[in-house]
Amino acid sequence: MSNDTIVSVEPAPSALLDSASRARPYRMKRYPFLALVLLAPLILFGLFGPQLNLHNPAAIDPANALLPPAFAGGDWQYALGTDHMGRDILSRVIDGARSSLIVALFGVALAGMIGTLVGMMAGFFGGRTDEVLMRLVDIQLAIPPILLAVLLAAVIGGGLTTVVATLTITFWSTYARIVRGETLSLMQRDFIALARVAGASRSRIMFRHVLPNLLSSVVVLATLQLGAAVGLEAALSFLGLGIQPPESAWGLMIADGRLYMSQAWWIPTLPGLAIVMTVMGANMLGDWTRDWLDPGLRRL
Amino acid sequence: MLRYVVRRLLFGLVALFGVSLITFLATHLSGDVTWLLVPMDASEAEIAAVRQRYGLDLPLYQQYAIYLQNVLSGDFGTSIKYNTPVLELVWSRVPGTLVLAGSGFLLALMIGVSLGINAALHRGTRIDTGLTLFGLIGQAMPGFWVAIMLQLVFAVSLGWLPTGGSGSFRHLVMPAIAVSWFSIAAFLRLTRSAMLEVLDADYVKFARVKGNPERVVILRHALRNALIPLVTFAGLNLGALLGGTVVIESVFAWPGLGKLMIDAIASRDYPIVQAGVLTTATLVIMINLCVDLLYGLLDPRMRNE
Repeated sequence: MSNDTIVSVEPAPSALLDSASRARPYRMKRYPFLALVLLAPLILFGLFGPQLNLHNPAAIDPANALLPPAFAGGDWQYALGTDHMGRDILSRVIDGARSSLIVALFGVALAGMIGTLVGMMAGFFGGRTDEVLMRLVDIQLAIPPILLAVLLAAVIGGGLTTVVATLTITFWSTYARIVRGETLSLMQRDFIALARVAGASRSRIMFRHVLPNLLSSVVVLATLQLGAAVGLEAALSFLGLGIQPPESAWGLMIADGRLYMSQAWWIPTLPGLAIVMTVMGANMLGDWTRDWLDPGLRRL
Repeated sequence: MLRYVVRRLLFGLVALFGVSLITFLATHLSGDVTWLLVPMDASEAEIAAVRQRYGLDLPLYQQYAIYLQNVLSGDFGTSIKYNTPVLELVWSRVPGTLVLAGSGFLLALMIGVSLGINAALHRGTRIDTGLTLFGLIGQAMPGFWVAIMLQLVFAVSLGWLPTGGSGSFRHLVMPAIAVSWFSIAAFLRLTRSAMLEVLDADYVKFARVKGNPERVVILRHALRNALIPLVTFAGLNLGALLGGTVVIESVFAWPGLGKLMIDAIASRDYPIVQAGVLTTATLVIMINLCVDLLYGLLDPRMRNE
């Protein structure tokens, strides 16, 4: 009976909750508040940009080159200033947002489809299929993403294809690894055994019974990777391997602005802030989605 | 333990083989690579001669066998632009990249881990909030942009450090910080959560009850157990760090593999790119191998998996 006293030493639940909430003051519980605040300007400008009567992002105006942003003594007509060719930085950042986000979403989605399929097959069939597919994952992890892009760019040249291919090849393996693990544990569950007994075909079990149970993990992973994808795209465009000049992209703007930074600090700085806001917003949205949909993935 | 080592070595070899296959196939993605080797106005006969000289008229698997054989005997081909053996060019740049990646890694480890420990020890206070926020923002900042911001502040405005180049310690400061930036933030977050987990453990309480000084409790009892996830991450992170040097080297004109490769793309010098990627991937695989072995030493349970 003397053992009982030791058991009761556990802290009261309220104390546990309290210290947990104090540890993360920035994370709202129910809604991803800060993530939405960070992403709001992007979404709003993306949707209502055309109504705002902004300058044409590609319009060159040498008379108004290198104007400072409004908060640094410039004119509100060019709220974020102009670059070396007199192009409006605000409208270029907004225009760049569109191409960056579309490319990142596309790459992550493509990687998600391939990775999910591979991971599901590895977990479902096991044995040699599993071994081969997982070795492929190991190989992919040995090549840093930027190098992959460099290799592709050396052969097919830079551009949209190179970026999307790099994003896809970079991110598929994470999905494959996670989905494989989830599939393996799903295969132990009773409903799969019952589906087998009921005479369901392999493809029916895979796509009707296993896949729907994987979707929340896949959605969480996709959100978590979105930020990384935006960052990678920016780096590739910065190196000239990604989105090409007539288009606007944040990485390109920074590469251009670098040459003029001694006269106009705002040209490389502002697009970078847009990247930081987007990536941070996407990362926090990913964290929130994970906590909400799939707390088991927290160790990632 | 021996079985574990042999298994890991085999994995490494398979990965290396796969990487060589990828670098080989990538150059054949565009179909015929002959056009990369001949001048624009080459005649039919010249093209045929080039094809024969480089063995491009052979079936793909034979070409790969020859490529592998050449690579294994140290022949990575000839640079199209410089017309010198690629191996020499690549080899001369390896130290530059290793110095940059190594100092970036050390910086990230020292700063990131100590900040992470501090955040965990001051859990829930303003110090913790500030450091956690720094970690969140730091992880969202692209390395190349950090590099340019550093140039803007310390080279252009203050004039303390050179904008680029190499040769002295002063040249290394900004590139090393830029390379390590993301990892500092990542190590901070990881160390914080790993430390929080072990600080509550019974053996840490026991070490304290025994009357050990707090320093010993933290460093010998808590940190050592928090190291396991950190070592895994450090290994994965070194690969990313090596990839990151590619971009940072270009910003600071640092003479490493990355700069060599990016410059080679402009002149379509694909043998250099091929050899550079293969070399870097080999470095990553060797690092991961070491990490796996270290992991086995730190956590005996891993050896039996």
